[in-house]
Amino acid sequence: MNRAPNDFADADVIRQVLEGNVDAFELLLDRYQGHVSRIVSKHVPRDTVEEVAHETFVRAYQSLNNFRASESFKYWLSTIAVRCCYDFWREQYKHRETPVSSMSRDCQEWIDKLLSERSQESFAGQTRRQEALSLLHWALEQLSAQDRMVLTLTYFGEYSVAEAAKFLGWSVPNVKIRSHRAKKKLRKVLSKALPGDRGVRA
Amino acid sequence: MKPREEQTDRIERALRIAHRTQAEPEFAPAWRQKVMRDIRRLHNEALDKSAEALVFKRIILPFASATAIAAGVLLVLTLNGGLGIEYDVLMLMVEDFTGLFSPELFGL
Repeated sequence: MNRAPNDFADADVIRQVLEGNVDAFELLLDRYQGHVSRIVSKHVPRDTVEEVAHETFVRAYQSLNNFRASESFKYWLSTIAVRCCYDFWREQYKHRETPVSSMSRDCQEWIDKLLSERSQESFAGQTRRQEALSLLHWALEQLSAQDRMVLTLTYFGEYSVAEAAKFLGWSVPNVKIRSHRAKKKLRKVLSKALPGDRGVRA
Repeated sequence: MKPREEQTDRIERALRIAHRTQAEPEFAPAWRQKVMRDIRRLHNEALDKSAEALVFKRIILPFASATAIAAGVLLVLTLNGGLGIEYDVLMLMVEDFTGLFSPELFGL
């Protein structure tokens, strides 16, 4: 009896791809595009998510020979996705010519509103606003590629230090130290954004 | 006004929530086709490369080896039998000290 495409385990699909049935890779694309999109969108700007996710799948295909059937494909793919994001930022920082812009007026207003909110409900409402993400991007832009990756994985993301270390290919102590220092740098950046101590964009 | 530390904490907390709850983008249908097109291209390139490697291994390498062996045998026979221009040139070069400069006569 023929099996439906979804009945194949990841390892079966990978075996088929390695045997030359390249179209079988589309099954993996179907299964994991949402997962990759979730990871990538947490690390890179929205307009580059598709590009970085594309790169993730292409790299996964190219490294499929190195995949060990004993490990989870989802986890293996997550590692590739995180490293693609890291490479994206390294490349961006390498070619960055313009200095970091000052905080926009919208973000300043958002901070003012957030600090004046009293109820928990309105606080939650503020976190859903686009200005929150704009401020986050502005703050992260002032950190190095390594610092922003480690922060978005461990502090803003939901990964443990050990998981982040594995994703980035760093040692656990390195991630711990970098995360601690990056958090301090971020606080410094945010404290400068507080009312009374701001660089205002005209 | 709250102390600065507390205000920074509040912003940080809001940013963490904003980061965790941000909506995931949906990929355009063309995205998937583009990825698969690239994957197929890589697959075809790999096939072409392996075909080239096969031609090199099966045809060019044996032919080059056979030619090199034949040339070696011919040279040994020529020098051994004292025949041919190669022998004359070699003798001219090694007969005495001035012979070492003879390659210059041939423009070498």
